[in-house]
Amino acid sequence: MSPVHRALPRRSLLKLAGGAVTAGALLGTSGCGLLGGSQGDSGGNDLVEKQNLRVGALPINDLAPLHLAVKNGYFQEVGLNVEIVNANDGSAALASTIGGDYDITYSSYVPFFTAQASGTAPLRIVADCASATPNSTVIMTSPKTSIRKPQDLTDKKIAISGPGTITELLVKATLDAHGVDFSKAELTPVPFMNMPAALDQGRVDAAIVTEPFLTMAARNGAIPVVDTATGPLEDLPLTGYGATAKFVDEHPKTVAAFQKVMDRAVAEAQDRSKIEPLLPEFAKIDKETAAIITLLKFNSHADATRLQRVPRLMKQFGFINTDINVEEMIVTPKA
Amino acid sequence: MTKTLRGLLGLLGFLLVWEAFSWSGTVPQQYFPPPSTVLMRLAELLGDRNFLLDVIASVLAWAISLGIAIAIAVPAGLLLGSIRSIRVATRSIIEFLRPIPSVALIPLAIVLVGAGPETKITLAVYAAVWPILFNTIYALDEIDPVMVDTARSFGLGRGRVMFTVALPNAAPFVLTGIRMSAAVALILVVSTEFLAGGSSGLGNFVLDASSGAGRMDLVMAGTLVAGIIGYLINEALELLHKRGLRWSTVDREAA
Repeated sequence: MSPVHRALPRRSLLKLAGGAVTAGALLGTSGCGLLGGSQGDSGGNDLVEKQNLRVGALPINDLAPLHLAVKNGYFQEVGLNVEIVNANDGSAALASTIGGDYDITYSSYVPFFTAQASGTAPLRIVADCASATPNSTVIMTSPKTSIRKPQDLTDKKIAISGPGTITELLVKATLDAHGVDFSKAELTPVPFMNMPAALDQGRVDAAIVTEPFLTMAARNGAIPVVDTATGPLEDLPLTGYGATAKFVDEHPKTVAAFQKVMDRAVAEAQDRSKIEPLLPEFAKIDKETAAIITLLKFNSHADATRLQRVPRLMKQFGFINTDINVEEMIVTPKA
Repeated sequence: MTKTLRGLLGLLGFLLVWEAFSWSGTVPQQYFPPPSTVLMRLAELLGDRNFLLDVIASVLAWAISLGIAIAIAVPAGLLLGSIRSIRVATRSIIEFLRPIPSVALIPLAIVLVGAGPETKITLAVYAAVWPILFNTIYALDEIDPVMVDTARSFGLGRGRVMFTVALPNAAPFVLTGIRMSAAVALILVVSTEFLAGGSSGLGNFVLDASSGAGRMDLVMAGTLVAGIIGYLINEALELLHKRGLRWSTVDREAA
């Protein structure tokens, strides 16, 4: 290496290093918004105690009213700034809420009541989200099998989304309602997106499939065996929004504002044309499928009598072993 | 020119094999869409504002992570490489920490720094530090003692020798380490977004597309974008290596 060349690269090297450090610092300070982190202070304003809310969610169609409210700026009108954070599954979102990363979270009721019963953290139900409607959560099979009615499901391999989830409860309760011994059925966890393929390839005999995978499975030729939203499970509350009791106690106005917006959004979401265009955006469902899938029934007010059915079923099927008083968990909206 | 042409031919061949495999029916097209579908989706996505914001979020997180990793690893490498006692003292702890897979630290990182961009940056920095650190230490080992002795005999102190002899000598190794770390950091950023969820980023886009509606075409388009970003980053660093460190003789053995 010749000395003539050595001076130059060293200078440019130092310049480069300096540039990189400066750029890093600049990116660090100005890039927060683009990075996707929450912006601004997390303090409150004159309307609510905490204006930046992180709401845990999943990229599925139940969340349409929430996305509708964010998109139309309903939260801003009550002084809230809502950031929707998608988690891997409901229990992960709930864990992040108990850990304090999310303020409010969406989840199916099963993890809520499981956590409440185990005493992990006292939880509150802020708002209801969706309940079962016909043809939205169906146990399906492939035409290659001989399964045609619920009774054929005895000692068969049935795909559920995961152990301790609402799908496991729905399968057990449905089998039980049809007089099938659910303890003989083999429940295997399979992610929803793999269920149509698992059915097709015969890796499972049946699967509890939700939208939009239900439409996809039907397109592949899968046939319904039994609709779980019938009989004892008709109109069963499936999912809701919750928070820790600590958060609810410390932020009454924030929670009330959230509830008010969800009421408005859910009322608007009854009109399917309002939410259909949102599905390709946040749930990545293609437009053609979005137009035909069965949506759950959107609710906002959590009703103790209706919700009590869930922990009762959970206890009956061994998910929990204590009684849960749902009424104590519900945050009653202020008039 | 012929090199570019050959590269393009290889790419075309790859796409043809992929297309043929998708149409062969071994796997339903819904689960393994052909490149024609994926590239069309990709073109649509490049016009989608939300997707571009996701890409920006990932690239920004990558840039910040790599910057921090360089800022930590280069000085640490110089220190460990030049002072033997420190290196011996830290060897076992470094060898213990280095093989820990960063993604396994996701739960820990969420608890420590919270969910959000901090998590992915922390983990990417953790993973990206090692290649740079080891390359820097290695470079100081490889330094020709005659050069150091010559500098010393001219009356240069330890610090001057470090900056005028050791650092320029180490530069090509460090840059090679940075190139390795750049890929590692990108992998970590995207996989943390995918595994831990979040509100933006390429990995989060792939997570939404797969768990929300099983859109494999979108999943593959997103994955392709990650690959393209990685390729461009490597090309840029290689160019920097060739232009900036033209005098170096080690690039042939190190690269």
